[in-house]
Amino acid sequence: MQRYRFVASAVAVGLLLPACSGADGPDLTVEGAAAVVQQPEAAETDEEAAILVHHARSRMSPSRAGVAAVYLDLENPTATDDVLVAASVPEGFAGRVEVHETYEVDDDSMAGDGHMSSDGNGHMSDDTGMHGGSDSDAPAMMGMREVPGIPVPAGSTVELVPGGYHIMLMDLAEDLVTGEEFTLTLELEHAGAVTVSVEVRDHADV
Amino acid sequence: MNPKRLAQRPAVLLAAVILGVGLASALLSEPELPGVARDPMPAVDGLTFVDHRTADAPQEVDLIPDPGELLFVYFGYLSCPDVCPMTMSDIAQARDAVGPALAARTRVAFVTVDPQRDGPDRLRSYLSHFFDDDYHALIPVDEAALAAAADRLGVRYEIEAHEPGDERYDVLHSALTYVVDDRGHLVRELPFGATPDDYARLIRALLP
Ligand SMILES: [Cu+2]
Repeated sequence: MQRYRFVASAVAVGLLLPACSGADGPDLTVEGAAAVVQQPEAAETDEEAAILVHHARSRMSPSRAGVAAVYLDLENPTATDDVLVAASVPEGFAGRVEVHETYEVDDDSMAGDGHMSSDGNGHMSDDTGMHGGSDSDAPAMMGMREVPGIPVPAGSTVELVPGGYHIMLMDLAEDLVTGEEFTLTLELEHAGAVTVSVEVRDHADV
Repeated sequence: MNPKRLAQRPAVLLAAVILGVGLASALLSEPELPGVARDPMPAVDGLTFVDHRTADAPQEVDLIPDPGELLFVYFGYLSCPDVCPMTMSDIAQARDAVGPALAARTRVAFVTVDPQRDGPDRLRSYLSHFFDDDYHALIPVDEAALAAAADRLGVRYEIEAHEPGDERYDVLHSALTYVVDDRGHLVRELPFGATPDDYARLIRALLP
């Protein structure tokens, strides 16, 4: 069968990539959480609870969509499991920032959770604007939801990529323009706050 | 009024017509192609939308491309930061990969399932980012028109219940790409996650 990219979100667990962690590239060390690290390659908090962030990037947001997704790699070279629990941007940049995942809706779990189910004929059943039944050969629906955290196990790298996990910016004050950068602060359970610079890229480079 | 055919172009080349008619059979016998073909292939005739590609000149269209061309139909919404732009980007990259001649015969029709928030200006701005001015920005005439298309093609969508005027709500949608040939047949459908290479291989196979 064909290979499709929508597999899972955290892909590269178990991959340790020293090449990307500052061994060859510029070794950027941040004193405390408030400093902004100019990427390209790596950002690091301190020796103790280091989480390295690579390739922090966002797709430009066209046409006042008001939303954008940030993708990045989280490398945990320590011996302690960690969890990305939250993220934030400077005040006034976006109304809300959430840790999200793109997921496939499981029809069996939809009954009674507040979503409307089909009338069996695939027609609108109420004002939720629901359409399409869940017959066996009907395609799954895709959605997006907030997650309590993204685990970053000790010694692993977790990639936030399109179709999987992302950091969701909502109520953006302005469109994100290709080439610009903005500041994003990640909250990790153990490593604490890690602030990185996110590069806004054209759609094909995300 | 009769809906206009998508992308009005006066020149109808006989060769292109013949090529187009040969498409479907070539497809079914090609198991290596990405996506799936239904048997029988659904026809899209009679499904109409309003194309807002040209500002101030909305035009009622159907989902049938010009002779010798393919239409990639996608049902999405603009407040979708991940799935929709990823798919649009993958198709845009495929059009780049196949070169200008084939790209010119392959267009995307983006149908918004969220007309409450997705107006003509925003649709144009969004799509032009991926396809310059080579796209169709389709808004359903009404709910029934969207439902009819969804029924025919098997599209599913769900708008979260919200108060009138509330602009913040979730949308669920099946995120397939429907490939329609010049006879108005849905010849192939690709799931979310199909790669630019998948789209490019399909274009090359369908537009010899
Ligand atoms: Cu999201």
